Amino acid sequence: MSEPINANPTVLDVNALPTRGEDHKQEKALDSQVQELLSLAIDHGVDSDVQSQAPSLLSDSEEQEDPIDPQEIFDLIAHISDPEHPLTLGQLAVVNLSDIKVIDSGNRDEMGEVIIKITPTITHCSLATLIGLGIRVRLDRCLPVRFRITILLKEGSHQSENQVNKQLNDKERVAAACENDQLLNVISKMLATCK
Amino acid sequence: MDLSLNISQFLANSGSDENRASAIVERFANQIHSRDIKLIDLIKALGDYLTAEDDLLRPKATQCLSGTLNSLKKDILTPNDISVLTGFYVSKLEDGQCTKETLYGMSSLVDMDSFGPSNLDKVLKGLMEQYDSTKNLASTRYYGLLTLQRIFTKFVNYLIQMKKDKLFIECFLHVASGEKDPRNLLLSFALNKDISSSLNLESFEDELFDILFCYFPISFKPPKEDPYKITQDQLKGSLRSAIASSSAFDKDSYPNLLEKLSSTSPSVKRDTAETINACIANYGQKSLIEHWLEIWNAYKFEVVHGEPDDEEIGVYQSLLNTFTEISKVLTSNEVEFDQFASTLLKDLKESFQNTKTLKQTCLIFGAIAKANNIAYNKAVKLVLAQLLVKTDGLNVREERELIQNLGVFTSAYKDVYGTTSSPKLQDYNNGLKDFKDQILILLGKSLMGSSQVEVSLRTLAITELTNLTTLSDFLSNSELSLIAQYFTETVLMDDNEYVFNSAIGGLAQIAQLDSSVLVEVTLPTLISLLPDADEPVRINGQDKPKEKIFDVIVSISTGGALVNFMVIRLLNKLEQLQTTLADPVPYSFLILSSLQKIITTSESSTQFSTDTLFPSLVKLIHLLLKFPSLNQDDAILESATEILKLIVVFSSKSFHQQLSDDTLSFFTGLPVANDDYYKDLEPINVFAEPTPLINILSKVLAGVNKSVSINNVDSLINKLVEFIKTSSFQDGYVRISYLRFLSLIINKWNCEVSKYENITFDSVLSLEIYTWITKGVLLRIDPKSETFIDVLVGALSDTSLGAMAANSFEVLVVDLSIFEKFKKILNNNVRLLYKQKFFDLVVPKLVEGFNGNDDMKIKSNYLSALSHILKHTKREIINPHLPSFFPLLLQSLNLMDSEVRLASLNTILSSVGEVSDLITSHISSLIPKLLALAQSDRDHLNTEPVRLAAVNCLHSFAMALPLQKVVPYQKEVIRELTPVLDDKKRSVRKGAIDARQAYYELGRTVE
Repeated sequence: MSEPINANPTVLDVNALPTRGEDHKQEKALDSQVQELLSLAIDHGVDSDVQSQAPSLLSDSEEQEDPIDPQEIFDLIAHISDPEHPLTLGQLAVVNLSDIKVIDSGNRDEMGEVIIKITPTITHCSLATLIGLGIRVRLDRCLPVRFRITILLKEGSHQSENQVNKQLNDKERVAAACENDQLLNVISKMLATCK
Repeated sequence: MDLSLNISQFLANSGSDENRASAIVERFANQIHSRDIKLIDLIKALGDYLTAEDDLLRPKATQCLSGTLNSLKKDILTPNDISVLTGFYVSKLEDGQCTKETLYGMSSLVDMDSFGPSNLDKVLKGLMEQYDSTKNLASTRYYGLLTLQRIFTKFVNYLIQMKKDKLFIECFLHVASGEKDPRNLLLSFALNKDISSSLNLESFEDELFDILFCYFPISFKPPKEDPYKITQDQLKGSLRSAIASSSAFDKDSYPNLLEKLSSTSPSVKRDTAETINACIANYGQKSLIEHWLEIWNAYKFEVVHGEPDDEEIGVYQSLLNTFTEISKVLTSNEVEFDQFASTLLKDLKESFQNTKTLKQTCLIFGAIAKANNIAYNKAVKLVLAQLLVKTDGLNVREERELIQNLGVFTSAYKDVYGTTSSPKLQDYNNGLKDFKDQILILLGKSLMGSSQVEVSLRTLAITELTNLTTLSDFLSNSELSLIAQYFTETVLMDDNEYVFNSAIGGLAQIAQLDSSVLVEVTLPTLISLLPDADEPVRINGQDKPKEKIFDVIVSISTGGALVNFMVIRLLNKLEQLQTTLADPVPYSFLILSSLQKIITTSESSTQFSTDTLFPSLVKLIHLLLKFPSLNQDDAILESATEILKLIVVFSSKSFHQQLSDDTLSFFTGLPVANDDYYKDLEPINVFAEPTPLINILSKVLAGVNKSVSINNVDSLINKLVEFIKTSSFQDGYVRISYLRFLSLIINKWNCEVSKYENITFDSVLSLEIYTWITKGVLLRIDPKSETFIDVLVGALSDTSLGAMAANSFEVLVVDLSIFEKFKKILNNNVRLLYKQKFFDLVVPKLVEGFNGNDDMKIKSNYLSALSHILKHTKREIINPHLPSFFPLLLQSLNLMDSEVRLASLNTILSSVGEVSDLITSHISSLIPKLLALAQSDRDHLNTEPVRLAAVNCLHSFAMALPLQKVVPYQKEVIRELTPVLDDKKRSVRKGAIDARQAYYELGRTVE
């Protein structure tokens, strides 16, 4: 790559990116002292006819569901590298948590939709399509098939907004791009920093 | 022996068998030592060969003589001998065919004791006139340089006194010029250094410098199999110290070096800067006064526009070091140093307006400050006055930079005055103190006055405040308290992980300096915030969960004094809660579990004696016995008794016997002789009916030193076994508590166990008792343990009890707190290697049992026994046995037990890297199994951990197994993992995403 198109972008601190709060799992560590001890009863979990107790509390027949939310999408794409800076899309604020929308009923038989609006660092960024393609490939690989993925440029953030939007959401063109080995290599490189 | 025969032998072997040849020479030398022959005889015998026409023979003959000389003792030759031999060798220099042998002989000759100054001229002149280094090989030139070096070492004073410097230097220049062999260069540089630093250089400094500087910068790469093992750094260092050896070089060296400074190669740049630093340090003040301006002018651009954070092999740091070196040399001359500092300040003045180069400017002055006390005060005065002019109305970025720039001077402070833990220099009026108030105000404002969103600014302010606390002789006690207060408020108010952690780190640092500050400032604040009821804490008008306060307390309570303080205060709180709250259980548990954490973490970082905690031990026992709310809740009791154990473990051994006797009497319903622990309490008999209070007894006995004795252990064990057998336990916790106590006694005290060997398993309880007895025996690797284990392995094939026997194996290897080992403390008989021993013993038996049975149900007993063991065994112990039971592992993935599945998956996961061959050979059956385990199933057997472990296994295959073995499964894995992307649990989805990504990228190389 010759001269970077935007040589001096604003960079966010990695720590400042939105994250899901740490789960406080440690709290339970001591509470489980007794649980662990109880599990040492040798008739624990054995189907014995003598004492037909209710299934132990530990069995998770009622597994709680974690819905797919904007933060999850953000975590998937924020660590994609920018094609011209050694920084991630999250750091460059190309993707923002507030610009991600998830429509999902939670029903596995219904379609869901993810809408992401990206903000190129400058309005004439010719790499917007590449960034968009990178995000699309990442999400295609990561999201269940029932989700429709729409990637748009944030209103007013780019000179040729409509053109790029059209390109990014055209299945045929995306598929064609993914057949191009060289392009796929570039994208592999962008995705290599994903956590 | 025949001399001529030996000579012929030498001549025959020389050039072909050097070992033989040198042995012969060695023999000549010995014969001369023992006066069997004379040197003159040897020379006579060699005579014809030495002058032979044959160009191959002459060098060999010379070699024979030179070799003998080299082996001779240094005192054996007379001055006359030497004089003759010198004449011989000098004349021999004319013979171009044997220069090497001649120089070799000459180098040995000059080293002889009787080699006097009278021979010196002859040798030096001979070398200059007859020897041409450029015509000879490296090994020959080596002896030329060696001769000169030996002469120099021996005659340096003579050369100076007799004003022969000129001759010697000329000779050196002649011999050393054009050298390019690394070994010779090392010699040449060293000799040059010696010459330049001791002889009168007269008009030769240019030439001596040229013969050095033509090699700069050294970019030598050692060839493979270099016999001399000379490294680039050796050459660089040697050349550097030669260049820096004499200030006579300065008019040449500075301009030349400074010119190289603009090199684009970072390593050349660093080498140059380091050489300049060496020159500054060695040339002395007088030379530096003439040159510092020139150096500064050349450096200006490099340092001001250099990138300090671009840590490429430390280039920038070596540039900065130059300023430290200059300051070190100049500070003894006040006028000159002032001149230097103010010139720099004048040139850099603009950067105080232009923030782009301010950082570099501060680094330069920081480097100056590092030099010493005088430089520090000067630099701080000049720069901080300018830096701190404007501290109001800064934006966040400017504020951050300002703090970073201040940090340069605090870190220089550490270099000059040291830290509180290792002070270097005392100076009560150092420059930084003048700015102390301003700095504290600034940092205080950045931390306390800026929005909580400014994570990096606040973290930086905390780091810098913490830094200040470490400075030797800097902060007063009240200032330290103020900082502690800032940090305390921060940890309470701020939930951001980074800010929280660095503030906690700051508090811990203060605790290390002076724990009384925390006892006075932080802890009372924390305690006073604890609510009286089971409700959130109100801090500055905001509700926070009270767990947060406990988090803080746990994180900062380190060391005996703080722990003692917290234990006393929190137990008081605990007591108070029991009467004021309707349901004190949740709050009580929070307090007790926090106390447990405090003691555990604090003791594991640095052990301290808990003797001072004994009153608290007594108090806690009394509280437990008094309040049903405390002794009826399993979790509270477990935590509380764990605290008792910890206090006992870390206390002095001298308390233990009485504590153990009293406790045992008290809990078996007998009157207690002493008033120390159980005053005014009614004894309890744990054998009257099952009671959870057995745990107090159990944990106290678990804590005491193992040298403590117990009367009549065997009858106690009997009583216990009978009691457990005949009692009906309503509560699982109580039953396990009694069993655990049994196991403890059997492990800790010598007792008779063989009568339990052949217990008949008439009930689940009898099997359970047997299991716990076995645990006690096994942990001390009793010779009987194999018998016990065999019985348990046998029980696995029992149709009714087999499944429970499988669970017994978990009991055997699980790590229990009563058997925990502590550094330097002997409180149980747990042998370190018991698991390894057990594993080695039991795995073959389980594999055999598995293979020998056809009933699927029984087979599965063996499998689950194995997976229970695996769950609690370290990988290093498992791996050697893995091939023998890997097939079992695969089968256990089909068992209808999620715990078993998880244990097997984790074993596979942790061994992928080490036994990849084994896994590769089973890959065709593994991958479909793992794919199935990754999906949710109807029976809920694939729990979240199972599904996650399964996808992680698949992921690890892509990373660790040979590519060609995994590629065939690429498409299948990607396809089959697609439904997992819609898993209910986020962790599993993420695992599947990462696994799929790894398979997508399989074989794709990203450059």
